[in-house]
Amino acid sequence: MKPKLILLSLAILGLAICALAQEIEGPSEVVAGKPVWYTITGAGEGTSAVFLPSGLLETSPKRIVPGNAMFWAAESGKYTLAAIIADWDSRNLIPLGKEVIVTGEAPKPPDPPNPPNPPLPPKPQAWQIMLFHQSDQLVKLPPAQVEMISGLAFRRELEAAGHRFLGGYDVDAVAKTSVVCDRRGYCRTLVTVPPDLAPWWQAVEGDPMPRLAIAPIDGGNILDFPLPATVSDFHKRLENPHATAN
Amino acid sequence: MRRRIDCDRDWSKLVESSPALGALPRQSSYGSVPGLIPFGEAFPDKLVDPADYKQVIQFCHDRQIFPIYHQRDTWAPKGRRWYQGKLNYCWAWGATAAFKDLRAREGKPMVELAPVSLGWMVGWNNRGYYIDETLAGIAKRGIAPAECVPDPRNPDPRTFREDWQEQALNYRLGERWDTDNSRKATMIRHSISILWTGTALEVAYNFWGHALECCSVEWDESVPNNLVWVLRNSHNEDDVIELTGDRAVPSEAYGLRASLT
Repeated sequence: MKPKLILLSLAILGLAICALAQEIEGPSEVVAGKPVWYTITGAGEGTSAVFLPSGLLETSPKRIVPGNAMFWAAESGKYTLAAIIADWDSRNLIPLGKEVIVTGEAPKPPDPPNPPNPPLPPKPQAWQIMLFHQSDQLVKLPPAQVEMISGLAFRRELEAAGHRFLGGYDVDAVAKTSVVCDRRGYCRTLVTVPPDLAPWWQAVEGDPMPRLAIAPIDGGNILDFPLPATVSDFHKRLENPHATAN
Repeated sequence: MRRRIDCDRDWSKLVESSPALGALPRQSSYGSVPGLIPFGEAFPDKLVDPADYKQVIQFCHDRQIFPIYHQRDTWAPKGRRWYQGKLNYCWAWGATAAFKDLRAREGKPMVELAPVSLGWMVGWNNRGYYIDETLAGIAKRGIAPAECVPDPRNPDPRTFREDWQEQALNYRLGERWDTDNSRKATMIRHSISILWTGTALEVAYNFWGHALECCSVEWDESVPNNLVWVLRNSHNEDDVIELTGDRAVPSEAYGLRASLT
């Protein structure tokens, strides 16, 4: 290239630079949540160009290309970007502005994970409860045991605690005893117990009375114990029946 | 509202106003009937001390031990009427009420029972009977469920469901406690000692010729013996009745200890 042509080209380029509009360059419409770069154009030698600080502009020099700013808006709307060109030679401040329309909604950041629930205290075991006694001995029992066998208030308290009171039976009245003899004269004693009571009766049969028998409320093995002497001991037994189960 | 009757003052009115009765004074002597355990002899050292009556009665109300609480909770809430009609079957109605309270105390399912099904004891005639014998009859044959008896006050077994006798066997009574009526103080002591175990009593009053169930007592220092006898009567009241006075001490009382399965 000839030297004249080069000089001409430089001159044209210089004029072009001088003629370059002083403005904020970048898209006029952006999508919410999507970062977009904006640049100040037309700032020549002897000038400084800065974006005015805004919460929506990332202008930190360490992070961005000098003279540029990254715009990011989370919500749709009309925004104005502002910048200033300072012409140190003429001591002029040239304000620049640009309207940006943000459309659409930014995708919501994912919810932070819920903190794990604290562990629930263990639910007390609920029991089915059946009491056995010998009714001819009822009057000899201490008041607390009479209350357990006959008191409606005590049953209500058990039910309020989630237990199910099934009954308080005379152990001798549960089984029906009959003598069956065959044709040869051989006789045997037949003991029959209603099916719903049979497992309970078998659990306590032969044990000293009065007796407490319990099974998990949803079913399971029957445990049996001497009937506690106090109401407080009764509740303790339900809380920890395995401690001294028979 | 409960009706309270002073039996010392108004006993004649009580007798005149009662439409149907039917209790015959016992012929047996205390402790002589099989299956009827003489209470005082069995537990001479376990009878409630008269000095403790007030405290024991209060405890039984606080902890809902008396049969009235089981009764109200199951077969006879307030407003429920219990009516023998024109039948002289108070002995049957009283025994059935006590038996239903016993089953409620035991926690057995509530089954309505038909007192009229006990009519076999009097040959299905309309007449009175003995209380101790009534209970012995229930121990032997039971009480039929009400569903077997279309008309609750018609003592005609031909109208009963075919299987009524078989069904009645499921509602039999076990052993009973007998009380000593030789002295009023002894009768009071035996009765309270039985009631405090939650055991219902069938009682009878000779002056009244009537049997009914005793399901509670109240302590009231303004009345003779400081006692109000609370009874489930079968004369169509909508609540229990209360008897006071020396005459209100039962002439006979039997504790229904256990039902058979």
